[in-house]
Formats: sequence, C-alpha cells, structure tokens
Amino acid sequence: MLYGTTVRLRAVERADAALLARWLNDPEVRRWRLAYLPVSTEHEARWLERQAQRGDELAFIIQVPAGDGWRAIGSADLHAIDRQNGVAGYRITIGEPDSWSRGYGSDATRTVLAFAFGELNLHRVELGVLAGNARARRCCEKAGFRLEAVRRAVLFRDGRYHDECLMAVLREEFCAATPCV
Amino acid sequence: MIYGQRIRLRAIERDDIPTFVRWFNDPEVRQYLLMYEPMSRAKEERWFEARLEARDDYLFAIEAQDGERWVHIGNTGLHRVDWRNRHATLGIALGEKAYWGRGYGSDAVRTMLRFAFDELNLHRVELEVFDYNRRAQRCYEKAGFRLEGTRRQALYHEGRYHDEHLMSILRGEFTGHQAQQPPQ
Repeated sequence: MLYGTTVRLRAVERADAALLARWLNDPEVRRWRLAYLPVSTEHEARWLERQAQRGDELAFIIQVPAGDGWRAIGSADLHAIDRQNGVAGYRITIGEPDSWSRGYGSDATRTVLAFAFGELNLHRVELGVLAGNARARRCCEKAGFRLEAVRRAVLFRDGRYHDECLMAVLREEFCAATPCV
Repeated sequence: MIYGQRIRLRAIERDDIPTFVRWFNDPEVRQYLLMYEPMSRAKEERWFEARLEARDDYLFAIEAQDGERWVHIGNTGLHRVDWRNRHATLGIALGEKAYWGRGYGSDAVRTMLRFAFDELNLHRVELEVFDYNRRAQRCYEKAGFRLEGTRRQALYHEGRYHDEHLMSILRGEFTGHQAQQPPQ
C-alpha cells in the first residue's frame, strides 16, 4: 500500500477486471483516453493477467476514505519501465466522475512519483495526454510534470485528428519540490 | 524495388545478415541507434526470422548508386504502423560510413515519405533522434520534418543522460511527391 495525503494506492487484483471495464466503458471517462473500442471484463482480466507476468509494468487502484472504509475511484500505472535508462510511462484514470476536480488525481500522481523516484530509482517519468484534456494537464502540472512536446494529429476521433501533449518530470525536479523519502 | 533519385530500396535478404553484424558492431554507427551491446550473428538471424512474421512494419535495404554499381549502404523502415490513426515511426541507419554526408540519407528519407504518404496512405510520420546526432537532424529538416519537442534526459549513454528530439511531418507538409523513374 502506498499512502498519499488523502488517497492510498493498492496493487491491482484479478477481481478488479469488472471495475476497470465499467470505468473504461463510461463515455465521459473514455473521451480522454486513446482506447476507442468498448472493453469487456474478459479483456480487462486478460490485461491484468499479462500485466502480472511482466516486469516492466506496475498498476495500482486509487482509493479514497469513504465512511469507515475505502472506496476505489480509479487506477494509475507505471508502464514501459526501462531500468537501464531509468525511464517509465505514467497513466492515470479517475473512473468515478464524482471524484473529479477534488485533488485526488494530483495526490495519487505525486504518490506514484515519490515511489518511482524514491523506491524504483527511476530518473524520468513521462505521460501522454490529449491536448484538449485541460483538467488532466493541470493535474499533472501540479504534480510536477512539464510540457515537452505537442505531437500533432496523432489521434483520430469524432471525424478529425487531435494533438497529444507529451509531459515529463525528472527526478531532480520532483525531489526539489517534494522529499522523495 | 522503390526508386529514389540516387538510391533504391529493396527487401532485406538473409544474405544481408553478415553485413548487419558488421555495421551494428561499429560503435560509431551504433551510437545513433537504440543498440548498446555487441551484436552476434545468432541474434541477427533470430531477428531476421522474427521479421518475416512482422506485421505493420516495413523494412528495406538502401542501395546507393555509385558509378555503375549499387552498394548496400544501410536500412530504413516504417515501424509501429497505426492504421486507424494513420501514423508510423521512421527509422534509418547508414552502416557504410564512406557514404555518410553525401545526400543518400536524405534521398532515402524522401523516398520513404513518398511510400508512406502515397502508397500506405498515412497521415503522419514521426521519428526520434538523439540530441548529439546533428547530421540526422539536418537531414530530417531538409526532408520537411518539424521539431515537436524534446524528451529531456531520456537516454543514458557514455556516462550521462542525453535528450531525444521528437520530429514529425504531416501529409500536407510533404512536397517530395514528384514520381521517380528507375534509371534506364
């Protein structure tokens, strides 16, 4: 378990497949993701299966306090972890729209970054975000990501091409703002 | 065979394997590629077998016209073709150093772009280039690529981190459409 200020992150479990499928099938959630097909629970279960075998990927479920317990509101992962160069990709989805714009995303992101730099000894974490997704860009900027590139016309959706922003944070930048240990 | 101005692109053959082993063991060639360890013939053979099954990936041998001869000087490819979004990643490696700086790379890049836009019907071609590979950056700019940004400290090589530039060209920006004829 990784603890942030409000949120906590637990490892993803096989039993999460239905939850992940429900989030990813919500059109409001999917709007900002690269996926375009409806996803089945079986598909997510297979992804989890493969993911558990791979050494270059770590996935978490984001939980927030609710009543006496914790409620799952989304997922985050580090993928394409390249140990030699110390680089990994980052992805986050807040699947419950009633949890948007409450700071959970940046809290979870900072928590994953502290883990990536402080425990995995990575040097750089990067992510792609659709240029129109202002909320996600703000969330990632708050956590320390900087805009590095705009990849023009990489995604075709709703009959036209869309740009994607590449953002990244380096260990030295993150650790200057937030203690990594 | 796909013809450029002074180059032509042909399919890769099994007989090319020893040439690849020679090129990719040369540190001067390798420093610009995503390779960092000595390359064995066995590994290249396995790579060749895997390539025969590869989908959504095109790789050609570049042959340069040198007087009367055609000389195999390198490879170029379009990788990770994404058909729905119509984009792909361009790669090129010139293994014969005697042919560096003579315009063959630019010729090959333009020929590949023509293939990407006019045959594969792609919309965008992108590439990554290390910050210390100035010659390649100039070649891509000449072909019409634009700098989109820089992945800071994304590569570790010779004891320190290096940046990697992202470049791309959209279909409408490509002006090298004029058809090339095979030499008589």
